Amino acid sequence: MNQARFEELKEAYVLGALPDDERRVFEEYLRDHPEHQAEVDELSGLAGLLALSTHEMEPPPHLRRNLMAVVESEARLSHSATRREARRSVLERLSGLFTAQRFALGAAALAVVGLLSWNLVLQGTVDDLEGEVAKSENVRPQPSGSETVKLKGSAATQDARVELVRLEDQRTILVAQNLPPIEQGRTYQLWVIDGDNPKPSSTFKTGDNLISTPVRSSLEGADTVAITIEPAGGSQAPTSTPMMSAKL
Amino acid sequence: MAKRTRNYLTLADEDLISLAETGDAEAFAALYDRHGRAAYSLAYRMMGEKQAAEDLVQDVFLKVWRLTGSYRAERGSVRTWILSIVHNRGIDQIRSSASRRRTQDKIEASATKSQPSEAFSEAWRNTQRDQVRDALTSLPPEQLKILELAYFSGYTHIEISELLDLPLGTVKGRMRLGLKKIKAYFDSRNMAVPG
Repeated sequence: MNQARFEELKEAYVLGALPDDERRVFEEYLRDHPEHQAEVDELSGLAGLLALSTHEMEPPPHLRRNLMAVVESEARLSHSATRREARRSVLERLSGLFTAQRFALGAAALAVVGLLSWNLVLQGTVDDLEGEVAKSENVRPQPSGSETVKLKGSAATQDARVELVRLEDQRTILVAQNLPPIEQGRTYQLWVIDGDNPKPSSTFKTGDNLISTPVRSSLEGADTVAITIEPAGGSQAPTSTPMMSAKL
Repeated sequence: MAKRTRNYLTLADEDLISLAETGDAEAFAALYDRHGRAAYSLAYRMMGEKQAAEDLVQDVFLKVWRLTGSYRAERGSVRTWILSIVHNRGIDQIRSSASRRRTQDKIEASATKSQPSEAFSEAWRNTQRDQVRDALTSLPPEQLKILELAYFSGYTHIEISELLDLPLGTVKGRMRLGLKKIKAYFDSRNMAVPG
C-alpha cells in the first residue's frame, strides 16, 4: 500500500466495499499514517449519511426488553465484581499494614491487636458491601417479562457470577463473569437437567472477563442447570463434576 | 425515578456514554431509546427481514454497552458511531451468510424504498433526514446505485463491477464522485454535514 493506492481505495473503504484482505492492508496503512485519519473520518461521515436515508421503522418493544434484560444482568455482575475488587484492595492494604507493624512492635502483641482490628474492619467492610449490593439490587429492578436464575458453586468458583436470564420471548441468555480460566482444549458446558437426564447445552470460553451467550436448548421441563468443564467442542454426557448449578 | 428518567433525557449522548461506561444501565437505556430506531431501520434495510434486523441491533447495542470506552468524540457523533457499528457488523453478517439475499431484483426494488417516512418524532432529525435525502436524490442514479450496493448490500467494489458489468475503475470513480457530490450539496448550501 502506498499513497496512490490509499487515494484509490479510500471511498470503497468507508463504504465497506473492500474485500477483507484489502481492508486489512488499508487499515494497516492508516495505522502507520495517522495523518490520513481525519480525511477518512470525514469520508466515513459522508458515507454514513446513507444510513439516515432509510425508511424509518420502529423496533419491536421486545427488542428493548430483551436487550435491557442482558444489560441489567451484566450491570449487576459488573457492580458486584467492582465491590469484590474494592474488598480485596482493602484487605491487601490491611495485610501490608499488619506486616509492617509486626516488624515494628513485636509479633505477639501485634497479632492480637492486628487480628482484632482486621476482624473489625473486615466485618465493617463486609457489612458495607452487603448493604451496597442489596441496595444496588433494589434500585435495579429486573426488566418486566424476564427472569434471572443465579448459579451457585464450590469454593473454586467463589468469585464467579453466572446467571441465566430468561427473556420474555422464551429465549435464554447465559451471562458469566470471573469463571476460573481453563486449560487449552477444554470448554465450559451448560447442562439442562430433567431428573437424572442431563441434556448438553451451550459451550463457552472465558476469554473475556464478562461473557454472555445464548442458551441453545429449551429449559422447558428441566429442574436443574449445571456447568461442567468438558473437552473442546462439548460432550454428549458430562465427563466431570458440576462446578456450578441452580435449581429451576 | 421519574426525576431520574427526566435527567437522562436531558443529557447529551456523550454524557450518557460516560455514564454507561460506569455501568449505568439506565443511561444506556436512554441511548437505546434515542438511537434504537435509526439503528433498527438501517439493520432492516441491510438484512431485509425482521428477525435478522433484531438480532443485529441487539448484537450491536450489546457491543456498545460493553465498549462504551472505545467511543471517540473527535471521530464523530454517538449516532454516527452506533450506525457505523450496525453497518460494519451488518456487512460482516451479510458476507458470512450462506443465503445472501442479494439478487438483482432485490437491489432494484431497494432503490425505490427510500421514500420519506410519515412519522418522525424529532423535528431536527426529520430535517436532517430530508436534507440527506435531498442530497442523495441530487446524485446521478448510476452513482447512487453503486453507493447503495456497497453500503446497504455489502458488495465489494469488485463484486459491483462484475454485477453491473463495469470496469473496476469506473466503480471506484463513481464512488468517489458520489461522495464528493454529497459533500458539495451541503457545502453549496453552507450547511454542516449531519452527524
